[in-house]
Amino acid sequence: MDIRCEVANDLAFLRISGRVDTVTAPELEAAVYGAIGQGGVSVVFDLGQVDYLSSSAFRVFIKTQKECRKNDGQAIIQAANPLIMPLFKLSGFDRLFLFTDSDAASRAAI
Amino acid sequence: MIRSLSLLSKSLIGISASFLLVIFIIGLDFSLVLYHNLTQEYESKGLAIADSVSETAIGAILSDDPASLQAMVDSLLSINGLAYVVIQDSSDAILVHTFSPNVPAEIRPYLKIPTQKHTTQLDIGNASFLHIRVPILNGEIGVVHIGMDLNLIQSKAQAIILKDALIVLIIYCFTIGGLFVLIRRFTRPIQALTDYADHLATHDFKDPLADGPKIRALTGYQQKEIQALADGFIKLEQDLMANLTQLESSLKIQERLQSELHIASEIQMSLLPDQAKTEYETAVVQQFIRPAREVGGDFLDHFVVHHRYLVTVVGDVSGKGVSAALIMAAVATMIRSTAQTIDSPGEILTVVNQAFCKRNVNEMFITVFLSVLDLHSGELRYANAGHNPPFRNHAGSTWEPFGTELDLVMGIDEACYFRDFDTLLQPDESVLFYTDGITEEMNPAGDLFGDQRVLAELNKSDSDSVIPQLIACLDAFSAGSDQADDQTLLCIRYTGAASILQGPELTLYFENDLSSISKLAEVIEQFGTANQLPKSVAMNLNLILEELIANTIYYGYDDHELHHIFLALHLDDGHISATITDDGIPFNPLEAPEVDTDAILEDRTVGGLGIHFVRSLASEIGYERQANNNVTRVKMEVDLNGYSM
Repeated sequence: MDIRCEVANDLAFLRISGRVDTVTAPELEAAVYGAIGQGGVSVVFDLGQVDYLSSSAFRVFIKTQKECRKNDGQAIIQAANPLIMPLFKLSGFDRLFLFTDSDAASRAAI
Repeated sequence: MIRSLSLLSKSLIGISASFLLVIFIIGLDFSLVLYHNLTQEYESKGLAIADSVSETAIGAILSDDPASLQAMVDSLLSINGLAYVVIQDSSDAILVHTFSPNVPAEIRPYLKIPTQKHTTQLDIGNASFLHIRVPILNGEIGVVHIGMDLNLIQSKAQAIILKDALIVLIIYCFTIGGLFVLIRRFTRPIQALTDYADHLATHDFKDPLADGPKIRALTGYQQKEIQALADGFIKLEQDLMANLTQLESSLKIQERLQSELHIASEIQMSLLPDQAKTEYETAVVQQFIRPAREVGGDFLDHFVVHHRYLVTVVGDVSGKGVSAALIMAAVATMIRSTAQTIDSPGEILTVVNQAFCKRNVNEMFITVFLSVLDLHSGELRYANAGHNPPFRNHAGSTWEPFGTELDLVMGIDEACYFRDFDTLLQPDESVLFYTDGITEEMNPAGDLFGDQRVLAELNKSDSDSVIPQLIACLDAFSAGSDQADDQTLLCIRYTGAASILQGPELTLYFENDLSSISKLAEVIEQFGTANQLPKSVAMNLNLILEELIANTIYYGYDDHELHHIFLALHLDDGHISATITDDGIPFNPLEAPEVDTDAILEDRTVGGLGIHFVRSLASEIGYERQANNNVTRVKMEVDLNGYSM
């Protein structure tokens, strides 16, 4: 898994590629706190290059959502592919997050 | 033949021969002179007798008294040496003679010769005579003939010569005898020394030589040369004896060292893995090591650390024999123990190099190629301390060198840092490590075996018998010359997880640490590829198994020991069955509380979601506790054309 973090105007983009699983999820969590620390009020998980998520990833997502809400921000799931999208439905996360398909859509959603 | 005779015999034969020659010449000369003198003396005696007869006969002839004439001539025969007398008258008629009965025919021709003094030699039968003729009164009244017996002279001369020869012979014998004694006296010490030298050559020197005293007596000999020789021989015997004693004791020491070397060789080999072939979880290691002497400086080692990493070491200590072997034993042990706590091959070499440099009083150095193969992923990390780069091939492709990034050899610079490199081995890929004893082996013509021959042979070999084939080729190449250096080969073949994933059945185990999650991902990816599973199916399978296994790793054990979690996968028509067996604390996923997926954000917790995924994605879940093991069975429907949900 690789993560690139871009923070601009209260909005943090986390560009993730590869697998987010039990082993790599702690890195993602650290990246989230890093992004918030750099001034990110809302966090966008750009999952365009992600082909695998396990429950540990969802733990990070929900923790991020709770953190963001404290600052009146939110966590956004961007560009989740059809392979992983069903997992959001299965977990009921489809009702807890805003899903977008591009950077522009994510920016507009804030 | 003469050459083989002793000096004494040669001298004697030479002297005798020359002596005899001289005697023969002198004797011959003497005989001739003697004969000549006697003959002359005889002739004058004969002439005197003939003269006196011619005087005496005058009266008797003139008085024509043949009787008195006959008596006179007969009386003459008593004279020694006178053989016959004949008197003729002036008309050549024989007046008287001393022959009986007639004058022999051989004399007759001489009786008619004119009357004057004459001497001649005459043979009658076997006898020789000096025939002397003297006229009487100038031949007026007759002639006297007398014969002197020459045989008498000959026998007289013979007697004299014989007597002289006898005297000479006696002198000769005395001379030769004396000479013999003299020469004997001169050569006896030399003979004794010669015999002594012969004995010396065949003596075992357990006791002193029997003729030692004889030679010792010679050291006081009057002749300086013999003295010096005898002194030399005595010293030679003493030196030889001292040297032999020393040699014998050093032989004993050598025997002892030899047996200790043999033991050392056994101990050295016992430090190294001794199987020609060792099978690890996903790799097969084949090895060969052959020291040039009893013990060597080459070493190899392979072992697994943390149940996952196969460490292989091939090294070469400078020099050969015991010193190299001791260093090798120490370094091989250091590497083995350091590798238990340090993962990075470069760091292992760095640490061992520091320790080695601190004690390296003999300025030895070592080349090492250290590699660490991740048995789960095929990742090969390595560090090279000045060692020959190994060769690798992917099954079916040609062999080529790799790992050519050299760092300094160990033992030179304590501050040296060794770098890590890595590469990924594909399933069925092999790597061959070797020492320079292989490539630098020479044939009797002095040609090196060389990298190119190794590569050529490798490319001909079957991947299962790389080492035996290479050794057979090497031995054929160097037949007839002695092995110059230790020879070591080590070949790893990474069989890869794929070899157990070829097909719908799969059984493997995981350890209770998080690395198992990465391993699981690779295994499922390969299982999916091998069975042409849709991506979504593989992903969901992975997710189910990850949630269950991670759960066991996190919550299944309350100790810090190593545990194994077994997984069996089975792909059947339309569904996949997975059985997970672990020896963790009892946990039944069916009894886990359900997550409320409809809850609002504030009420959602971070737990339970994994089991929720398992329950949602699996078509069937079964659990039983069997002999202290959790056995969890999961079934998943597979729609080969689409998603499994």
